[in-house]
Amino acid sequence: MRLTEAIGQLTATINEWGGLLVNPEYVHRGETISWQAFDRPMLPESVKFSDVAKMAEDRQYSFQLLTDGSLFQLYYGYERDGTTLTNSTLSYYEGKSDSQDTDDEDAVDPPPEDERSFARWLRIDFDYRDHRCALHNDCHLHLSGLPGGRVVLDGVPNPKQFVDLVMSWCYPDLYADHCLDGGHKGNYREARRQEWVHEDGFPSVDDVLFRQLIHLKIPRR
Amino acid sequence: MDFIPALPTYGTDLSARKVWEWFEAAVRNDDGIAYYKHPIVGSSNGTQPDLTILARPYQPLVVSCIRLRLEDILAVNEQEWVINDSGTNRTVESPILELDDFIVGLQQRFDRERVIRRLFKVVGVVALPIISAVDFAAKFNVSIENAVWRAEDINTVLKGHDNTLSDREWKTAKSVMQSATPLNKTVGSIPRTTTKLGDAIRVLESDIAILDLEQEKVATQIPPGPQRIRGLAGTGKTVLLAMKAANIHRQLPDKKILFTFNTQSLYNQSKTLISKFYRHFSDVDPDWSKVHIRHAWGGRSRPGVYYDVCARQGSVPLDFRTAKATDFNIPFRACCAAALQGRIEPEYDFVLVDEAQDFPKEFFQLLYKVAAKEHAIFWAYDELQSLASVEMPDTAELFGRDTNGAPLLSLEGDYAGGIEKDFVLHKSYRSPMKILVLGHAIGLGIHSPNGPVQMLGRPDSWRSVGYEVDVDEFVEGQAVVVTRPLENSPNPLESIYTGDEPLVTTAAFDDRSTELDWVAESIRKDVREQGVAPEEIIVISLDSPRAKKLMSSLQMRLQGHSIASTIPGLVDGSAEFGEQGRVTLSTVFRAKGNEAPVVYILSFDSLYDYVQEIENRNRAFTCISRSKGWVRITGTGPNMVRAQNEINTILNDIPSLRFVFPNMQRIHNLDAETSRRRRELKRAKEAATGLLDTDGEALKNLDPKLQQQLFKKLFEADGLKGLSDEVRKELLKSLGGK
Repeated sequence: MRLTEAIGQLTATINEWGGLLVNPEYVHRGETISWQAFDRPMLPESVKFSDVAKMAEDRQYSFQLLTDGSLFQLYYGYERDGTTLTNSTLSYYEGKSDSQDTDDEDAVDPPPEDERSFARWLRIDFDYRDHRCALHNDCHLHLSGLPGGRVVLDGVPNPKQFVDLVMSWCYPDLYADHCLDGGHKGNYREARRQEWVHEDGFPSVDDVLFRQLIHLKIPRR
Repeated sequence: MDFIPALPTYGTDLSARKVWEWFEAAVRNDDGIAYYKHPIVGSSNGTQPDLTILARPYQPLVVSCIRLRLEDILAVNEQEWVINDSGTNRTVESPILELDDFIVGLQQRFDRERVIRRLFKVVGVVALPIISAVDFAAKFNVSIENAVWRAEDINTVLKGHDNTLSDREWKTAKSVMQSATPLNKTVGSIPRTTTKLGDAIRVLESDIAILDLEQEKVATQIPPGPQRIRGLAGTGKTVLLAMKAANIHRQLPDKKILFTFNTQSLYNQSKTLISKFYRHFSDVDPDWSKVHIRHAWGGRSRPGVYYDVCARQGSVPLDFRTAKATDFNIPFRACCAAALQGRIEPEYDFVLVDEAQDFPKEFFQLLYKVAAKEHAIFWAYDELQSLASVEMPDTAELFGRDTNGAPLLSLEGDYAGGIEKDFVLHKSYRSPMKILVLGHAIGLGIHSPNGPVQMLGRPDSWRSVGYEVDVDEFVEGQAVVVTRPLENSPNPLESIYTGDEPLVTTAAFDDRSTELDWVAESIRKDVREQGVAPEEIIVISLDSPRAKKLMSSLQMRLQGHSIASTIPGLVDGSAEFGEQGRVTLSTVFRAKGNEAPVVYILSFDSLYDYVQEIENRNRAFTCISRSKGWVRITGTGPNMVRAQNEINTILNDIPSLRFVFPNMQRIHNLDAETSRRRRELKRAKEAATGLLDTDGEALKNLDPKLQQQLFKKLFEADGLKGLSDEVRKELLKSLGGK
């Protein structure tokens, strides 16, 4: 997928989620797609909600989720020709909204500080210079709560796939409302949507490793 | 000429009083301001000049008073004086050197401002009110430049300007003396009147920040005990409290200060302001180990007054759920009440409370205990922004009483030096008069179809918020007229802007989508045609539960017009607002404490919400009073048409509000009525859910008469209002109704 197509996908993703993804900050600069105030933050393994709030305040995101302010960071780096992906970091950081902000009488207010101080997060890293190997593959997924663990991926998700992954894993209710028929146990309302999500992806890797190792497969069309 | 003693020591400082009497006699009729111990400048050892005087015809003066008798001065040279200090000879720095520090410091302040650079030359004066000039000269054989020994010497130190100062030069000089220059904004050359919104905003912003006398006393004076500061939205309470904190820290750097508030977004704002004002005096940041900025609650990731108290007590803070289970309406009250059960040690020398109207009395009782024994607690209160009550509780109610029944704190009388204990800031600078009065009328429900929902019950309460009232007492059923004089809302926008855009615009639409389209298009015109910067626009939704969704829809529409926008504060604890180049789309909660020249209020039809009318009227006031210029109010359906009528009725009477004084008992009972409505709504929801869960066959077998009654009730209650006409007809047909 070319750089220009990837930036187009970001806009399409936000539109497709019908107002749930807000405050777009993504930007195309030179050979990269990142966000306006891009700065690679060095975060500890345990990310506090206050760290997420600070990143939100500093606009360190491509866009936010409307319901809780969670941050999506999508970084794609290309070769000068704008066609070959060289590195990528796709992150999600769980946010926590202020219950007083909604004034919603039906809302169950969480405490000013929830019992949980640490935010859930996930991050997919890709660097073409890294090795293709079992434990530290060139494309892998980090999950909060699994320090040091790297889940191997057979390719880099495109923007639509990354948002789909986060929403289905972290917001099953929203995901079900958005594209499933019949709640959590339902199937996709429109098969075409999923075809759309997976079209124009990055090429998958066909390597002997993926016949040996349990890994995550990114669908391709 | 106004005079402000910053410290109560003025009451007993006979030398300074005498010297000021001499000066006052000479400059009494001049425009200007003078201070005792003003912290604008200080010497290298942290002391302030005894008097600082700025009179329009003269150069600024800093005055050091020598309180020694001649016999106590043993030797004098350029660097040092030897004095007799209670029988012991002591060498001290020459007061002339200290005075020189003051002169250099103040001169720098004036020279920073381009408008007045090189126009002002600060004059340092040594005043020796209890020594004769002749005796001093005879004893030491030295002369002191610009010395004042007696009243007759005053004219020798009053130096005039080469040219008469222009109004702009004078205002700038005054702004320097008030340390208000950090509030000034730099703008380019602009016309004084204009037909374009953007230009009018630039003119408005270019106005030099000047504090009025009431404001300046609040900011400068450091009372030795409690002080209440009352003022409406836009009177500058937050800024003045921040200035006060900076001044205290400057004057008394070892004292511990607490600055607390209710709205999260005030954290950054307060910190920036205190820092800005302190940096005006100093090259370094405030010592944050001495100045604590704390949200009232706090939490694990950010300290707060309540959390800190619990930590010092060694008790576990109540979590929100437990607090809400204990006290559903005001959970924070439960927290404070629990903390008050334990021992609370004094921690702070000064406590400054912003948004005091938002706190329960238990929090004040907690603050009473964390304050040192003088209880120097300064609280800023906005009677008309209280979510709980519009009548302000007295100090006995807030802080409690001692074992003899006497109030623990009192606001009776003044402190030494004439420092007042109870201030009223009558002038509201932010909103033009028309907008502020509209906000009050909507907030109170003066012309609500159901009658007022809140009311200031006494003429004095109206007066204290800047209205004129002709009667001494209100009587139920009496026709009342209250009027806001222009001088109490001095926003000059109406004299600057000569275009066709009214300050208040209303528009009603059939559906939300059309409403949002209109708002987006109107913002496009503001930005592209009227030259309004995106960050000068705030959009607020009155319908709080649905606010985020509305903002998201509007953001997409604005993107379609290539206008950037931001929905701030989606994440708890982040405090960004009014980002450069972006329109701000906010909930009411987030908008509190912020302001903008152009304010849009969406979904104003929520004003007549079945359950939340009182809350929504409070919210409507908060929204309207954010505006420094224009307000555009939109909504949908019949309720918006009602709102338009209400607004028009109010606007027709401005600058007055005319209404029949309501039955106060009915108003006091409205809380109970709200609770009843909340219960009824809950019952209706449960019944509807139950009905929806019922087997359709069972419903079919209901007595047809009952079916008909049910349908009729729903139809009459407009319970089908969410459906389109087409669907309604279809439904009616399928149910066999008419």
